Amino acid sequence: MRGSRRVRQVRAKAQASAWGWVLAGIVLVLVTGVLWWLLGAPGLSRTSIDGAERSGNTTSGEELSIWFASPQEDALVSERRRVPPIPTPFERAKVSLQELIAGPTSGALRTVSAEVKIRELFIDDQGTAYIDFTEALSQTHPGGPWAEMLTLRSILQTLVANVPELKRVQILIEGREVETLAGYLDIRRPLNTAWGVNQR
Amino acid sequence: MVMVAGLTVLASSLRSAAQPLPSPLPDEAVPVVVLDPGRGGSNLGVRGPTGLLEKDITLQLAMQAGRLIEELLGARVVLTRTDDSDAALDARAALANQVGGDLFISICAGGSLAATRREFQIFYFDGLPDETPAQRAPTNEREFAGEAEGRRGAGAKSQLLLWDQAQAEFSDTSQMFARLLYKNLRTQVAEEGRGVFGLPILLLRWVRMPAVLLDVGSLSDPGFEAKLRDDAYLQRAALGIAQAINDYQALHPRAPR
Repeated sequence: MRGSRRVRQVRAKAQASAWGWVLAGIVLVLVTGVLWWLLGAPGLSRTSIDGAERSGNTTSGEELSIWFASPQEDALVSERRRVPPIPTPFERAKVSLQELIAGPTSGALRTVSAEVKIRELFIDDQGTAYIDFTEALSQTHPGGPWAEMLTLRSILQTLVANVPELKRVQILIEGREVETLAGYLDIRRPLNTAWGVNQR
Repeated sequence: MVMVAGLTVLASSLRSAAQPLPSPLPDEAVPVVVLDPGRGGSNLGVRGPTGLLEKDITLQLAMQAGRLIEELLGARVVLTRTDDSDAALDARAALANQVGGDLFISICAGGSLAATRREFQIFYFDGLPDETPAQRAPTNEREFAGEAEGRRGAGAKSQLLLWDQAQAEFSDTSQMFARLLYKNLRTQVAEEGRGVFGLPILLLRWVRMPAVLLDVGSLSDPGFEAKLRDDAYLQRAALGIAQAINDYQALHPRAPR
């Protein structure tokens, strides 16, 4: 009898200890959750240097990756822009290009003149963006095959970094297809966004 | 029927350049080098900080190089323009194809995004990543007759080529010549140069022979503009072009036609 009572006492102690661990676990989870919420959900504003990933929506907006030419004109380099939340790929493409036209802020080189405006923008269900620029895109271009390549690739890379759904980009000037931007590169047909990926 | 349409396009292209229709050159064992001075007329191109114009520098270099090529190599040189006139890209390509050139060198002096120094570069044609034969194909009547109507002989088999694919079969030799030109220019003008690059350059795409685009450097850079005003510098660049053609001929002697 005495042995049986001793066993029950040991069992009760063990049950009390288990409940203590469970309660401690629940408290830990609750505290972690509250801290995570208070600190603004760290990890959701993740970005990538190659522009292949876009930062997620947060309550304070989202981040765009805008691509300009490096000071040595030997590569494309990106700058971050925090903007209010953008609901659609169409809007995201338009805002990205407007940021490209606004120009760099950190010593990179502008690839599109500040005089350029976007007349129209349309994205079809095949993932091709049709972007109609004003003629300033051609008329203010500094000229030369290399500068032309940098301008085209900065447009493509900026679009593909922020609107990964896009597959091709057709550049129009004043509503028309043109042979070249400023005399060299063939832009009569849609350009594959893969051509815009930075090689560096 | 298609051939006639193609020739009509060719002829109209040439007329738009305000030049008489060139006759195919006589069939002889002399190589034909086509030099294309970029820009011209109201198409000024890049303007240097003190006013030097791209259209003038390209013409001057092409004429100096042309003289050297004829004198030193005995080759025949055809210029796509010899005065201050402009010609559309397709007219320049059509002229080169019509005379049956063996080598095509277009010359430009590009600008740069910043007014900084950029040394010479050589380009060959390289299409865009997803181009399929269907995308390369012309969307209308832009085709031209090559073998049958050119100087390659009346007995040659008739062969129609798609205008947009004219450069396709010369990709390897164009790259090879681009490297030779790069090497010889480095030696002659004592500059490192920026390199050899493949880009979808529209003019080169339409040329049916090994073809390159030489960008002599950024005219928007004040220091380089001063260099381009120096006749001795241009003469060395012209010699670099001639030597590259000499090296190319040693590797690719002209086949009898």
